Amino acid sequence: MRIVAELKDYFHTLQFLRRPRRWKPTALAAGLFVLAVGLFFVPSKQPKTDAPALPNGPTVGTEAATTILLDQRSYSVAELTSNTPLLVRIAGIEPKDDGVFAYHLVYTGLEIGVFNLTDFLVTTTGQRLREPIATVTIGSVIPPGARHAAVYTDPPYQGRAVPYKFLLILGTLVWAGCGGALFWPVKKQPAVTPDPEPEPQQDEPDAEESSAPKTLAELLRPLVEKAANKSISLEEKGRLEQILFEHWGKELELDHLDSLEQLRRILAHPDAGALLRTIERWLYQPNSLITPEEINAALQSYSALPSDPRQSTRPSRPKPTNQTAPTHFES
Amino acid sequence: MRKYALLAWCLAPLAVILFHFTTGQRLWFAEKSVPLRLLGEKAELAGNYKKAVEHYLSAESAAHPKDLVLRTRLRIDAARALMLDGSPLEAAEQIDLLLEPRRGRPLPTTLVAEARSTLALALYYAAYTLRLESSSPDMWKSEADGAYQIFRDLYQSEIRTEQKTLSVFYARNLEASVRLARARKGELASLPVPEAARAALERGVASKKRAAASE
Repeated sequence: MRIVAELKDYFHTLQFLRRPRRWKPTALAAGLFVLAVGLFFVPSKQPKTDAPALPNGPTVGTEAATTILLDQRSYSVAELTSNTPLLVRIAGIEPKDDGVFAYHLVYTGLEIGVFNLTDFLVTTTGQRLREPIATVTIGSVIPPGARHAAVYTDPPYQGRAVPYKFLLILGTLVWAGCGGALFWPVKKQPAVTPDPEPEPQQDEPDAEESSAPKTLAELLRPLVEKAANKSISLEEKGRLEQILFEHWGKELELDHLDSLEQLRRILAHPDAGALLRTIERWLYQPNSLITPEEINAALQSYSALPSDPRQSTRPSRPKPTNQTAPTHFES
Repeated sequence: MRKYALLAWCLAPLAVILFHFTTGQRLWFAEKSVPLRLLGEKAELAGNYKKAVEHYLSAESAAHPKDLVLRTRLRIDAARALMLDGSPLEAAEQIDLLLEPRRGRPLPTTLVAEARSTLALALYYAAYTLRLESSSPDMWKSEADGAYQIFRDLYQSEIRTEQKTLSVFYARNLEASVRLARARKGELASLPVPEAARAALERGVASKKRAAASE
């Protein structure tokens, strides 16, 4: 069940399957396949006979059985002649409580008509029994106006071969279609809840261009707001410092200095260190309530600066990594 | 998730190849054989029995050597067409060969019943023709009795099944066999001769039987 659910999720993420009002290639191929198989199993023509339905009673040539009660055990079947219309056989004799005997008779009619079974039984002296009367009716299954007695079925098959080659080709196409679907480039669906810290996609800058912050103030704002709320994490602090180092390192031409010296000079600079000092103050006042106006004021000097360092006319210095960048707030 | 789909996608050709070189082979050959069989059926329905026999035998040659069911069915078809073409005794011999006990997997019961039914019909038409050609019971009695016995067995087997679809067919042919055996020669001659018996008369079945008996 988990695999099915995962498969379902996966196919839902396929871009081309989500396009509305368009034939889906795999669904179309699967539909054709099911249709072809279904058509093959449509029942073919049934064998034809022009005989009527089977009568209820026995017909000429068919065997039937009955039981009659006789007073003696010694009766037997009369000798057969070439023109006897009924073949009778005693299958068994069973004595009953009231002194009579049950004769289990099996008979086969060779002619159509009504016959008395006891006519075909004889006493020990060879006389026909005749009584009691136990009639049987032999019917016919051949229609009265039939031209010929015997019938044969029409060629009974009249079917189709399994379209094996067609199914092989179709299966190959479906398989290729599934392969195409599997190797189709899948785009991730945007998350339902907006990312609180939208990091710029450095590998795919064009994809996120429209939603990327345009100014440095926009880039810094979520981090500064978190610092104001005292909810900023160590990674986010490192990220904030990294942005400021990148910007002020180029502005103040500090690229040739080591990280600690850069930090010291930025903090000492009246403009460059202003934001870092403000944030430090906010963090060391745990009960303070920072208003939006204070945040706006702290970001005021960055509102006109572009967020992308490549837009700057001056060459950028190498980006410091999290491992090498000093964390001012931990110092 | 994607890995399961990829795994299934990679394994699918293996399954198809495995199927193709086992059961698929019969389907592959049957696709060549069945159109020939359909041609045979068309020829048979059009009354061109000689052509029908040729098509059925070609279809049998095109079938997979191990496809016993299809090959047997085609042999039955060919025997039926041969019977209708006026050679009921040869057709009966062909079916007798099919019904001989064999090693390996037995044939499906429906196919055996179909073969026996065709055999009984061939014997019936042979007996019909021999009765018309010769008044001696020695010439036709064994064929008539054979047809009666087989149709009776088939009928009794059929009425024990749930569907009973062929019980009327067997009952009618059983009755026809009884009537044939009991009819007087003059009575039989006054009736319209069935097409298969007429074709057999033209081919001189009685003389063929005499020749076979003398050999």
